[in-house]
Amino acid sequence: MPASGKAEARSELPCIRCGDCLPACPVGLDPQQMHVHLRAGQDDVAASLGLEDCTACAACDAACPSHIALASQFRIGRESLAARALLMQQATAARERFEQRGQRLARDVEDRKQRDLELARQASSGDAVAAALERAKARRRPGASE
Amino acid sequence: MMTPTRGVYDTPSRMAWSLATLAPVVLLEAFARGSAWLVFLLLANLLAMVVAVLTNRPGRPIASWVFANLDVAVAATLVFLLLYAGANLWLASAATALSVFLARSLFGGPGQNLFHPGMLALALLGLHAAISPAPAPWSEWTVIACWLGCGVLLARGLVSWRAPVAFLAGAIATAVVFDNASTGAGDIAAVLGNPAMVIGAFFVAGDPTTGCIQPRARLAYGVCAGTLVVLVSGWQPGIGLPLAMLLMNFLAPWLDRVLATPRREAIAR
Repeated sequence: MPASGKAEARSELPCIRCGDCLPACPVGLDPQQMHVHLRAGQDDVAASLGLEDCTACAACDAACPSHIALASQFRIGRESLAARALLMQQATAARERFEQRGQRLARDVEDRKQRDLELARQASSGDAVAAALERAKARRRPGASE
Repeated sequence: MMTPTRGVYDTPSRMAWSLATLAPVVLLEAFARGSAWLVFLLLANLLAMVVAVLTNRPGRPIASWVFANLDVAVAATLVFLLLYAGANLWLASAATALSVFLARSLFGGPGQNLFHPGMLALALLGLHAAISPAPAPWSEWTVIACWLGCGVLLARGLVSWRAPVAFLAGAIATAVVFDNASTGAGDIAAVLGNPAMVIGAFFVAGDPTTGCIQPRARLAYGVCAGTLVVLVSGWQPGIGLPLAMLLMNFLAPWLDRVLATPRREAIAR
């Protein structure tokens, strides 16, 4: 087995903050700080440090003396951020739909009220009573169809 | 595209090298201070390692536990090298083990500690002494062994030059300006010829876990630490190094944040 393969097989050790990953990063990120924040579950802080800009070149993996799989951790972090962004998008869309439904229901209630008021106004007028009496008489006439 | 290659030394190797570079100094001091000192040094190493392993995160293989905890052996060795003259060796061993627990295990284990365990032990011992403890006498051979060990660390790239060089520069500048007679650090040779300062520069200020990570922050950290060590030594000889380094350990995360290299500049470099 080649020496590098043997090194890869070793178990991951804790970060000793040696800073070797800093000069190794070709896009000038701070992999050590991103690693610390991702471990602590602070994805937002890692994102503010430029997690999205990581090119996954794994140069930090190669420089790390503790054999920490930084690149894969950053990939998982990015995926987690993307998943969260998708969830946020879905939640926003759902909230908008809910608010629009509420507005629509309120509008329907208002329309129904208006319609009922209109009907009540028509029912209370003299013409409506006369028309109803006329209809009743027409039904009582012999030969009138039911 | 350039294929990235793993660094020559992994974390256990780095710690083992640190111990190996201290070995000649330990042997010379064992001759000077007696066999009891060496026995208690080994006892302190054992106690510190036991505390570190017992309080380690579960789920790690035993071999990994031992290799991941070699830094406490370095810390315990530093405690005994920097121990003031006439110190109680039982107390020193107990203080080392207690400091490993307080400064390292409580913070989450290897690589998580804010304070240097060795410096915490020395501070506790110095404060317990209640008087200004006199620093241990050093021989010329110890000075040479110290510098050789530090040279190996630098040449192998096991320690960044920034913090140690800045530490010594800060200490020399302050000693020359204030002519600190109480520490015997009145000139350049007195600082560079003091093994406590050399060990403090390379093994304590140069310790990445409790120091800064950003290049500029490392320089500032070193200068401030060196300056503080000389100033505090003028007030409390013997415990200037631990007190100053504990204060700088506390300030290191802030220095890292304030003096972080901007990304544009990092890319250009």
